[in-house]
Amino acid sequence: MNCVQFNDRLADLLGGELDATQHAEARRHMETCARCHDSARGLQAAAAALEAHLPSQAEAEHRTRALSLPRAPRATTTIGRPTGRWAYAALRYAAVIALAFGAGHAYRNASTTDNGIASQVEEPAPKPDLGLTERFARRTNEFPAASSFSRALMALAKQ
Amino acid sequence: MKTSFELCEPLDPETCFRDHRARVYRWAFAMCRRHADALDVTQDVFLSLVRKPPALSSRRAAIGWLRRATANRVVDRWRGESARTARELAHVPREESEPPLETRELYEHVRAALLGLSEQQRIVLMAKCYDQLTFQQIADEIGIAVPTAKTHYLRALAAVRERLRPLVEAGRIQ
Repeated sequence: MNCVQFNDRLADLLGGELDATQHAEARRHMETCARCHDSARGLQAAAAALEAHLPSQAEAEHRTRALSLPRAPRATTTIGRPTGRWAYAALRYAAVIALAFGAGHAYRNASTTDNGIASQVEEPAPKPDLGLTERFARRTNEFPAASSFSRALMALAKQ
Repeated sequence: MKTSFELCEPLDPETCFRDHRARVYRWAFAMCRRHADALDVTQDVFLSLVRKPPALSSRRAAIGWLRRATANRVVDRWRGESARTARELAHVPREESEPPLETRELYEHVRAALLGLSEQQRIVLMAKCYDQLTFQQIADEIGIAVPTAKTHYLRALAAVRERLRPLVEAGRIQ
């Protein structure tokens, strides 16, 4: 092998694509030609430095796992952000109803605490048939602390 | 790593993303060495694929396009980073497993060497050194002749050698 043939095969030599016979010929030529030897060694060192800079395949594989896509969503109910005007309206009504139940429960507890003994002793007087607004006004007068909250609830309900 | 050539739909961005996102990420990470940057580059590459899908006929051509796009995005990023001030870069969060200073310095030299290469040289060098492809595979992928791929490889190595010569002479690289 002469220098021209060696240079023709230099890329294959550095890239590891020479077969055993060609590789042995190239090695023999490098032993006899200092110029080709230095040239090949310099390029080999550059390739080695570059490969040392590159991450290992194991590291790349490990990091690639971070790219795995999430599983496809199930076909059942999806809990997410409501979309559309009707969804928000339904949510608003549900919130009002939940608040009303909560307020009613709190009011019931409060009335039991205040009049618990009395209600056990004597029967409550029959309630007059009043309208909703009037009943609300009476309850507000009876429990002034809860009046602002109740008004807010009524305002929401009327909306 | 040898690239397998099983069939897929190269022009469908969704299929391309599903099949090649890990590969694109690995290429990007091999050049950037930062997880966050590699993720950004991967996203950019597939966004550009969605916005302007290339007219490609085969899977190899698709991989070649992705390889080229990835390398170009990384280089764009490097150039953008070099334009940013040191003050801005000081606020960039560091990776958990960031290498020591000496290794980072070597990275900087390798990065500068890669920046100095032409697009084809850079692609061929990365395909050969990182993916361990044969020259025939590289030529098929990026649509050049095998001797051209070899020439690009040798010229790229020579440029890297020149860039790293001070480190070699200082005995910091074997």
